[in-house]
Amino acid sequence: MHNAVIAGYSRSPFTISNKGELKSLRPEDILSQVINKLISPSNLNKNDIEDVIVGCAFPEGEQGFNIGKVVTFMCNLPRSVAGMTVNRWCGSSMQAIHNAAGSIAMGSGKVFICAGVESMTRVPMLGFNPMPHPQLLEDNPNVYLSMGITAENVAKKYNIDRKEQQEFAILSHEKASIAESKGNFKDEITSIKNDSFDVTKDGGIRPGTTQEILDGLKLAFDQNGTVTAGTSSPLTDGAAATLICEENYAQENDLDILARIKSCAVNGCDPEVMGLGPIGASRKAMDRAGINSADLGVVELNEAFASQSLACVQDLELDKKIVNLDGGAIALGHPLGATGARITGKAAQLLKREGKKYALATQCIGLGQGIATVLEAI
Amino acid sequence: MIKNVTVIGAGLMGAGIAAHLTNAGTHVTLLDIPDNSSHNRNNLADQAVSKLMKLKPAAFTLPKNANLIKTGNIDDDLHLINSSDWVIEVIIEDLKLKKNLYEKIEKIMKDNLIISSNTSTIPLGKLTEGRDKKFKSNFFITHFFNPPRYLRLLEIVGSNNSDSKFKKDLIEFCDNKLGKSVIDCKDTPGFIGNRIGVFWMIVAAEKAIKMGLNVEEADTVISSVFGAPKTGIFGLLDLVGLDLMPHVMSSMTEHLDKNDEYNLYSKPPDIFDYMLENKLIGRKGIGGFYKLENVNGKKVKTSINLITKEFSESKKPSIQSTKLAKKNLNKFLEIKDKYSEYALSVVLEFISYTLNHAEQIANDLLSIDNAMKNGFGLASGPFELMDKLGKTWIKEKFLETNIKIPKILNNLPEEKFYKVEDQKLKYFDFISNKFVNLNRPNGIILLSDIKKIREPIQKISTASLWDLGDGVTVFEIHSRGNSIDMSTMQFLDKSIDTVSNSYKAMVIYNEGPMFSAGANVGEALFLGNIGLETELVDKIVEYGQKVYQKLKYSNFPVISAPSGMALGGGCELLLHSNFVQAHVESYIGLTEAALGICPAWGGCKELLSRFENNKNIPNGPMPAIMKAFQTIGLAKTSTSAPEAREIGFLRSEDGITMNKDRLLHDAKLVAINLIETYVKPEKLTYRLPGRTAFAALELGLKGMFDNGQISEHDKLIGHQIANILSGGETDMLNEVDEDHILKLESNSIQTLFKQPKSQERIEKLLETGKIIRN
Repeated sequence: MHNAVIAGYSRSPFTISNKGELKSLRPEDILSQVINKLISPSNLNKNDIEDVIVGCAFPEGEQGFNIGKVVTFMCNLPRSVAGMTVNRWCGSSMQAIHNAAGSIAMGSGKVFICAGVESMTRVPMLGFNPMPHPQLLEDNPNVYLSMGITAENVAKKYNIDRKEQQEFAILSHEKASIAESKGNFKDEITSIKNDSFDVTKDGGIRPGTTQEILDGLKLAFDQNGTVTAGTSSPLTDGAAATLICEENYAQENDLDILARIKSCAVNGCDPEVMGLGPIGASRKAMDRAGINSADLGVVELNEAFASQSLACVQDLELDKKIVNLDGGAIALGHPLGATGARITGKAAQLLKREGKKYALATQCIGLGQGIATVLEAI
Repeated sequence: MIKNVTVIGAGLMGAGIAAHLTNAGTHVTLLDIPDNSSHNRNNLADQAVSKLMKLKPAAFTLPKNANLIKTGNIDDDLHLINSSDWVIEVIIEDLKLKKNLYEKIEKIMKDNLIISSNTSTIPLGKLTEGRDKKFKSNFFITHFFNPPRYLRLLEIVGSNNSDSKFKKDLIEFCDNKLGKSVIDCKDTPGFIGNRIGVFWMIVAAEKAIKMGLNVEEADTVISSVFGAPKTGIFGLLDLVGLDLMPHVMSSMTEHLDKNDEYNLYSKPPDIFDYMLENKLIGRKGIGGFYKLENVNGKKVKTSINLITKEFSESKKPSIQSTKLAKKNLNKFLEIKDKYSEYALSVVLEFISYTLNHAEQIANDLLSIDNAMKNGFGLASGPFELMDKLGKTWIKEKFLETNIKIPKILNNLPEEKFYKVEDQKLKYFDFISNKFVNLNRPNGIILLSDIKKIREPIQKISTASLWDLGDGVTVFEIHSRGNSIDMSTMQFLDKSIDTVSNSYKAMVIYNEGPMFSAGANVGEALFLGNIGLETELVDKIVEYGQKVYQKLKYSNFPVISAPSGMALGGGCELLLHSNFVQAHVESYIGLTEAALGICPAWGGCKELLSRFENNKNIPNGPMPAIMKAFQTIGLAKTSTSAPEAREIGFLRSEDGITMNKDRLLHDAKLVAINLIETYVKPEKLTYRLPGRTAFAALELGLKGMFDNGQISEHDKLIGHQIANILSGGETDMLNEVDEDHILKLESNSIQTLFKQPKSQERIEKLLETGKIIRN
């Protein structure tokens, strides 16, 4: 079996949908610029790229037409490079990495671009044509619950009050703001050219967020609940990409290896508490890697909502100090299809930066599932 | 052609004018003095634009119009005036400051730059003193009224030096593009509007105080006698802003003759001083004669006691006699009580002042009537008011009260200033002392004129059908709120036959304050209450559907020409018209959901079809349904005709007229153009996803209910609307016709009408005029 490594990671700035600086850019334009930056090292032979696998939660409209193959043209990749789109909702681009790792293990290719994109401005959440199955909705209404309500359910189940969620959100903004000011995002952000200006910075980080400010926000999903827009990840536009290679290939071509992919997992759970998805998936992935939570040096846990993040931290007995070192989705945003590539690429970068042995990247997924990846330092 | 305008002065008025210029599609440069305290020297103009965005009622017909404004400051950017066709000065009423600015403009201006001042009181002659010939020939006064988007009066003043082509261009632009009722005034202080209007306001306010009426009593009497404004006098002062009064009064007394009656009122009442000292300047401040106060978490309207100066809850007075004012004004004014005595005293002083100065300030009496109607919101101008009273009666009252009879009244050979003779409208020309023809400018047809000289083709108490000539008819609704009851619907049915047999086109139009408030829900509620629910469905819902379908598929073009509100059944009338020519101030919406019901005269089917064919809405089975669901479910109402086009109530090909007086003419032109080539529309068909679309809309409703956006009853209403728009029991592969959707509309409104909470909403609307959410 061949090992897969992460040999590159880049992302666009993440900006708030409908008002941020990326709102007028088509998703292909954002994604192709990120991929171009990712493959810019001269020692990468583009002819060796087997496939471009793009995760996207709502692959329709401008994100349709198999955007994975579309961007191969926009990035002037050789015609031999294939392209596909994968959909596991929020876990789509982490799934793209898993697919590549699986192919590498089987000997079905050595170089893969695993990326993700979502313009939540230009293709709305749930897509243009949401058409739930009416009988299933009647039989099991929980399947189609709004994500916000699932966050409320998790908050209730784990007794996580509004204040605690807000503390978590404040910390996310604080960490992201410090990281930004220290230049920690320089190695990962690709400036995106718009018509008249370059987009260089994330748009959702709010340093100075306080309990008082968050107290002023209305409840977003349940008038008797605890979850607000301030303790939820915002609708976001953005793209992220990773370069996944066979380990020997990466070494032979002197690529900048960030981490080895040690194990992967997906796991289903009840849809009404979909935010708990990372628990089962992470346990499986850690079992497969032969480690437990105490062995982790870095954790990237997608902050879909503060309540579900806190529940996962608690249930998985994660050390809060190593979770989302440079902030998470509450501050940075969560362009659905792009997040998996961001947190896996980021975990790999952090593993190297922090000099730790193991990292976990994990996220929850609507309809009730989780996805997780364990990375190992080389 | 005026395409670019510079406005100098970014105060409330200047910014408001700039905003309204963009509503006409004009590019505007807005300049103010540089802000040296800020790093941004254009700060004052920039801030003015930000404030404009938040103004209520909105200054822009569409928020994006703000993008047409470029800001700057007069020190750095005055040269930009030469990129404009017209520069309007809107700085404070200070002659010296204005003259300094003109001197700077004079030095750099191009030859064909039109310049005007928005001064409200300073004569043109004083403004152009010391300027060169070119400046004088290009200079005018263009006096807008606040708020510039909504008040239709625009006074224009030129001089003997004025370039006639520039004047013509200005008048044409302000009339056609800005929608103004432009009045050519003489160069006298306050022109017409402020000269007569401010005098009227100050007389009405002072007399109320002296004669012991309270704020509400005075307002009720004034609005009854003058027909409008609804605000009465103190409410109007609050609207205008009491802070402006001392400036206007002192400027008027400074520039007017010492014997002018204004001087009798040069010292404002004590209460004005008290209010100004306490910043009680009106609606733009903390309140004025009326003030909203927070009592136990609720906003309560209070009013000031004009003697003790204390505020207490405002109560509408019950003055029975004011009802008589509408029926027989003379009789009302002769009653011996404080209300009628107050009214008589204001009326006599107002008309005496108007008659004494008319010749000095205006070219004809039409200008004066227009100015008072379009600038101060009066239902009738002073001469129209005098026609209600009659010359003999007025003379008697003048004699009784020792008021000298004005020359014009003595010269008037008949009882009234207006008359119809030989099928022609005439008015008394006070210069030649003869009756002359009342000729409207090209492009203006008023139904009110036609009504005076012609009988309708057919008529009932709530609606009429008029012959507009050239085969075009006008269907006019004139019920209360122009609502549509069953007799109006039957009359429309009959009128369709009449037009079909004997004419070539129908324009649906009226000159009331609104196009139509929709179906007469009171009638429906009554039928429901007495247990005639079957009648309700047969006679109101299904018959209405039948008539609207008949209108849409008739053999002649139907053009609706709305102005003001077109809600519910009124909006459905537009949706079934072949073309809409809308006045820019059209407020259109399917508002039934707010009343606990749903559109059922075909509104759902029409809007759905429009959205399905709208290229700006993504393809697929759901986007059109979702857009229609949001629009109908949230009772979305446009705040202008351009916004109605953005929402989808108007099609891209429907027309918009800026000047309300030109609306009927524009609609008639459309009708004439359509007659020759008219082919009735093809029947609509739909492919709808049925239950799966319903499931998607239900999910949305659940989310809105969970987060408290809608009530349980709103959810039920939404459920019914979702059922209509999803197509009921159908599938995407099946084609359904209009009748299928109409049946769903009919079923849903039946269900909703039976709901006690829907009935409560309708009852409250009928009782209080207000919408409740229960």
